[in-house]
Amino acid sequence: MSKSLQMQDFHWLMDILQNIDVGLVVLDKNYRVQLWNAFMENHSGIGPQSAQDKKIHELFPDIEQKWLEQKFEPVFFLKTQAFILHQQRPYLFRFSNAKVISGLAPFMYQNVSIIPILDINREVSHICLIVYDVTALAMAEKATNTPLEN
Amino acid sequence: MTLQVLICDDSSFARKQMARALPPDWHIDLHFACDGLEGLEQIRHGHGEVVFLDLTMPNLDGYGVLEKIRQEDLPSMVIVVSGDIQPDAQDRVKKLGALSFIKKPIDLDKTKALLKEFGLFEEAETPKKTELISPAQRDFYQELFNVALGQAADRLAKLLDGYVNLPVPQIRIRAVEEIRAQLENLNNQAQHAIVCQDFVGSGISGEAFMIFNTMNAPELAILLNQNLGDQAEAANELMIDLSSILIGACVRGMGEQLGIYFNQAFPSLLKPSLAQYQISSCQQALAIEIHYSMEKLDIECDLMVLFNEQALHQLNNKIDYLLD
Repeated sequence: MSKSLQMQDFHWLMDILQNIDVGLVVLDKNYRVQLWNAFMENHSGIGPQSAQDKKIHELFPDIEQKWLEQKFEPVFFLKTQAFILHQQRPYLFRFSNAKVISGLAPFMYQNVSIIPILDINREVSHICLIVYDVTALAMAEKATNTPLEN
Repeated sequence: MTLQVLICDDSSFARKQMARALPPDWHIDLHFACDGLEGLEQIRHGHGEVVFLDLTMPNLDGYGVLEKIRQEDLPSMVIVVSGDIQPDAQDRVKKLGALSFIKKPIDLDKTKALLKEFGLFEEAETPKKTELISPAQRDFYQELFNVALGQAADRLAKLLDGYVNLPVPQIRIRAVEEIRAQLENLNNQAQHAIVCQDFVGSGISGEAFMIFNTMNAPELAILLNQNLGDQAEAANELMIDLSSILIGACVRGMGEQLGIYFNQAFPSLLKPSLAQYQISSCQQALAIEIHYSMEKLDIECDLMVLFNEQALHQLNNKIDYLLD
């Protein structure tokens, strides 16, 4: 982003955030939800107000809290990205597939990238989970039985 | 027929070190044995055309193995590997028919020279390298990665409980063919797994490979403080997690110094055959090779970061600006 944010820019950024076809979840240092975009709301049925300040395992009890927090650690300590891949774990958030005819799988396969968000002092103040729907890719892989490129 | 090579040593650390000291482009089938009896059994099965033999081992020691080989007239060329080899011990193993000996810790170049001397290994002709980087640029890259890894070291230590020895990166221009052959060879061996990951920033892209020993999965679980479940993918997930950390620390540290924010792509396991990848038109690449050793946990892994000619050209422009 080249220029400093103007109020109108803020509006269209919010629009993009809400319409973009990937899940965005921002967590604070205590791993509590600070942002839950429309993709997450639409697929989970959990609205941003209900998600606010909750821990992920409170929203999705089948996610093992300790395991997930171990994933977050290097993002905070080293400012490096972490990844959760569908080849190892089909999904992080279980989003069922309600399609009758054109469904590919009973749930959404996901790749998740976890990135650090730096504050003004270049310290990691938050982390962001970016959730990609890779169902089509995963199904194609199953058909050929070899991992495909993203 | 591929040459059958056996490493016979009771220490798993020593076995791994010996395996690492072999030329990466040596096309062999590698076997391991944990003591003299097991070693002898493997030799009888034809797994020891060349044997790297430790002297002090339980059950049957190195001398015993040499005697048996002679008694049974087994087709085996033995190179004794030992920590401190006294002149009379040297005489004794030579009399027992050992070809030569290597002193621990093992020197890579000496091992290669020895194998060449006995006609066991021939070095592939490497194409003549044009000067892709000047000596000053090479020094700069060396410093760049020293600093990048140094910066990451204390944070890595905190995260991994002080397990990581601070590695010194090796920087050189390598032929792409040679790198390909090395990775293909490692990837074909069941005891190795390779994780690869691309990264890109400011139009400069690179790729990183992390080479693991698959036997290390339980230690990786301890290192990353995770449970090693019984799912088939659990070990892969641990390797991918550690790769993201080590690749990320290296690439980010480098990028910060150059003012480039590198974005890491999703990592993946290297495909079973490199033929599934498109062949690069590029002849040479800048290779940054880093050997991580976590002795306390007996984990060894290697990181290789590659930049192709085009990326290197862009990097050179950037650093020339900084060198002025």
